[in-house]
Amino acid sequence: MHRRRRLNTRGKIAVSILLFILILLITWLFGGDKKGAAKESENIIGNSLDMLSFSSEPVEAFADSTLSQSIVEKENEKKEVSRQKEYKKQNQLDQLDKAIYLTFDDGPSRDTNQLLDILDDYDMTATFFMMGPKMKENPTVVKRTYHKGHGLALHGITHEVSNIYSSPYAPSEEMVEGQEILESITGVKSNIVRLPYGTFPYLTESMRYVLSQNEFNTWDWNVDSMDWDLKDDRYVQHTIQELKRTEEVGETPIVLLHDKKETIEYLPELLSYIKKQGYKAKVLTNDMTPLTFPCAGQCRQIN
Amino acid sequence: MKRLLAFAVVVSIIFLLTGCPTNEKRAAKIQEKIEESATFENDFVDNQTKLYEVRGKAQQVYDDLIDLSINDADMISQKLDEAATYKEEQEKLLKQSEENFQKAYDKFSKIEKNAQKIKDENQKDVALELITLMNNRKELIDTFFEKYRDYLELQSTFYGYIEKEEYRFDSLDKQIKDVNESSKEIGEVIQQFNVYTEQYSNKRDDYYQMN
Repeated sequence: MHRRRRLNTRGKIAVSILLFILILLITWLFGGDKKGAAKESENIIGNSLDMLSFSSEPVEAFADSTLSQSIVEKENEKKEVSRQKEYKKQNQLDQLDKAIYLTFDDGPSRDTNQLLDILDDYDMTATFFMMGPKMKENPTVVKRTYHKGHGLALHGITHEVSNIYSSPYAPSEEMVEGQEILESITGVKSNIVRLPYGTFPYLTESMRYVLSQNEFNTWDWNVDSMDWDLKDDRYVQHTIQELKRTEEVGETPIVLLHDKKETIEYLPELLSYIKKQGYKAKVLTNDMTPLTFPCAGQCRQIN
Repeated sequence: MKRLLAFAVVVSIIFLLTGCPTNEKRAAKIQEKIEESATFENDFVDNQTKLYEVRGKAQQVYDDLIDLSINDADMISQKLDEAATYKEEQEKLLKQSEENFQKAYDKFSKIEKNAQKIKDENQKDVALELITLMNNRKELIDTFFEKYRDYLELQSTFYGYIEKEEYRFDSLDKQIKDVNESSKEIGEVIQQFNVYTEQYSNKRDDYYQMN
């Protein structure tokens, strides 16, 4: 007969401790599972820290786009139609006066005073397309030019093709700078500009558009004296031939000359002819419609 | 007596094996919060991935638009509609993304109390560094959301000019230059955010290995 043994007090304590240990063991094992689960979850967490993608690559500049070009061309075409109409009207009025516009680029120079004296002698006025830095160097002669009633106009800052035609904004930026210099010296705000070497072929449609947005009137010429090439009295003879041509076709002459020694030396000869022919020398003003060479799809950006 | 001694030895070993239960509880709580935070970060990453895709489509719309002529009025109108749709989608994803990161951050922030009480100095340092890195990420991602919204506004102004037929070439050109500048700034923010995320990831691995 098997007799069931009963636990004494010590036995009970021992069993309790054993049970406690068992519970701890289970807890430990469970805890171990938790650790395992945590490790497992690392994979899930790992995905949450993916690197973010973002492309900083710039989008194509608007200025270079087809849309931009078409906007500019459409606007320029519209303006050109109205410019031609206005210019024709202006020319008709000028023809009644037998007007002539003498224009001198690249000044002021050390010879400008002499040039002003000669114009005075012939009782004539002209328009001066002046460079910003040279105006700063010779403010007195700029003031004299103004007080003598000549036209004050802008020819930019650098006279460098690589600078002034470098972007759609570059011509305007140079003209704005020149405009501020002229205004600081004379108080006159001029919108009359001429680009170095004329508008064709470097002044693109975009550049024209921006100039126009800045309310600049861009002037070229219809009589090139060639004084920049023929550095003696040959330029006078050439100009006289050109004046005869403009008279024949009914165009009011806008004569390109330069504020430089060689030109000034033979200028009296030219002015004598002009006076004798009965021309009335006038100055360009802000409100006039400019003569600008058209692009006709041929203008090109440098570089 | 011998039995009692054996019990004492066994109990001591078990205690040694299980360690301090309070520290483990803290570590478990911290891990739990990190995991909860990670689920929201997963959603945040999903939102960002989608945002990247939609932005790509929006950029394609711009490329298509500027290839048109001003005379292609119908096509322009269509592209403007597409641009508006993608803008809305981006705004929606930005909002979701912002909410998910905020939730991830809020969950994560709850570890601070436990982290301050960790007895093991090394473990505590790592936990606190984790908090600093998360704060850095939060600051950057907030900048990102702000800059991205500005970026969308700049684009919107550009399309607005086209829609109203205000074709000031210089204004439009400037607008796109500003868009590109804005995009560059966002790129820099994201780059820095990714640097912090990588540091955070490494630090979090260090922390896990300690537990």
